[in-house]
Amino acid sequence: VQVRAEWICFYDAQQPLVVRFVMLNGASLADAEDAAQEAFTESWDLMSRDPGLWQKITHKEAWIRTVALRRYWRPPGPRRRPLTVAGEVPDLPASGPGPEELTAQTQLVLRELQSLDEEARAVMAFDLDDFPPAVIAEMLHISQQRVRDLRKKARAILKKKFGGSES
Amino acid sequence: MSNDDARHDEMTDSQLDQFLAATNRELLDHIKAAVDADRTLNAIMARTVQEAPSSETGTPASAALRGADHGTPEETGPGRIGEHTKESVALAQLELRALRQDPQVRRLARVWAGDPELAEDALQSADSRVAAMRHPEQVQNPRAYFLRVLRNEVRRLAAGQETLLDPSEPGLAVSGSPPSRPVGETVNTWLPAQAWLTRFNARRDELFAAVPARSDDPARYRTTIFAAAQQVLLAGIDGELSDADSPRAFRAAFPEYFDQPGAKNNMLYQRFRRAREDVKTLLRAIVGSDLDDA
Repeated sequence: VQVRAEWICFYDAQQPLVVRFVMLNGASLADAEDAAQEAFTESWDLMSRDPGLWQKITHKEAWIRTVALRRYWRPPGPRRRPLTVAGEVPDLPASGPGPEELTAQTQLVLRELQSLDEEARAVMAFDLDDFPPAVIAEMLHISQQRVRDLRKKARAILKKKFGGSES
Repeated sequence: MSNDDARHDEMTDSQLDQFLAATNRELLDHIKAAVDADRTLNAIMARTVQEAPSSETGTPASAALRGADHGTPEETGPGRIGEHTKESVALAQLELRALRQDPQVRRLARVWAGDPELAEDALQSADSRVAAMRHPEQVQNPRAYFLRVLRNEVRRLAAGQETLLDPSEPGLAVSGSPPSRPVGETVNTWLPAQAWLTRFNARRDELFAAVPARSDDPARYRTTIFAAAQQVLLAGIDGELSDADSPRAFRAAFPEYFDQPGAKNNMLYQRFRRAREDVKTLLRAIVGSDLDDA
């Protein structure tokens, strides 16, 4: 019972953060929601099937983000299939928040993050959620030094781009 | 040269940090406004419920209650505000309370709680909460609202199980935070109890009705809680601490409920804990304004 209650608390606290994390990795709001839902469904299944295993997961906040990110990168089922209609589909919703919903600054950050490579983007998204390099390295299966290098490189790129945009 | 002294066409580290932090905050606000986290959670739970075998069948009571004139919850949302007729209030109340019997809601309660007894208690508490609402007709989506209340109750009751074990009871392990001080001890620090007792007796009917109907014999439960609160106030007048809200006192006053044969220890202590909370709630209704003034 307590494990379930804790899971619900975990969901309440983390769900919007996980959606944001996936968006920072280049997803639209809808895709980020889907990925987050699939990740939380997986965690619920795990918790229901094997509460002990769920409790053993260290860094659950980082773990759920990693699962969501994988689901975004490799979506299951119908989401994996490309659209069969060629060209632009006029009735499709916009791929992300429109200009009336987010400030120019936020749109700029999302756009510039998308210009980074996948790995650097993931490191930056974890970094923005204040995860230490050791945890990021564990989640992405890379060395801590690699995390630091990617972070440094990404920040240098962003500093340059945002500096130019501000002046 | 520090990073903050970087070239003028490049952001400094601190500027970048501020820039990214502001973006992060805005994005989160946007997500919270745009995403219905409860709906997602319900979808996850509903999936579990659909997969779980169930013997319960039939149309949800809420669907049966919702006549053609009332439409779906989404349709009736904003239009219902302002239509505060007695009928609309009563109907909304009925609709909300009927959800307690909805098979899917009951299954969700069991899934969330993981324990049938806890689920039943949570349903009872959620029902009490929606029954006490002043403007149920303003709820735009009764089902979602009831599920929200229910989920909060499951969480609250589950959290309570960690702290409900009483160290004074032999044979029980102690976990979680220590039990709160007896109500009498708290009230005793807020004399004059005489004025409170007068107020208490003057509002007798109203307070009596406000006690949740937690047992199968609601009148007996209410009488027990009401009498305990009265004893606490009487003891306060004499400058004494009362044990009227102790497990022993509750068991003596209503053994069929507080010492129910065959009930698990956890369940009995949960009842005791909630009874003590109900006493506190009654006392707060009396001393609340004084506490606010203090």
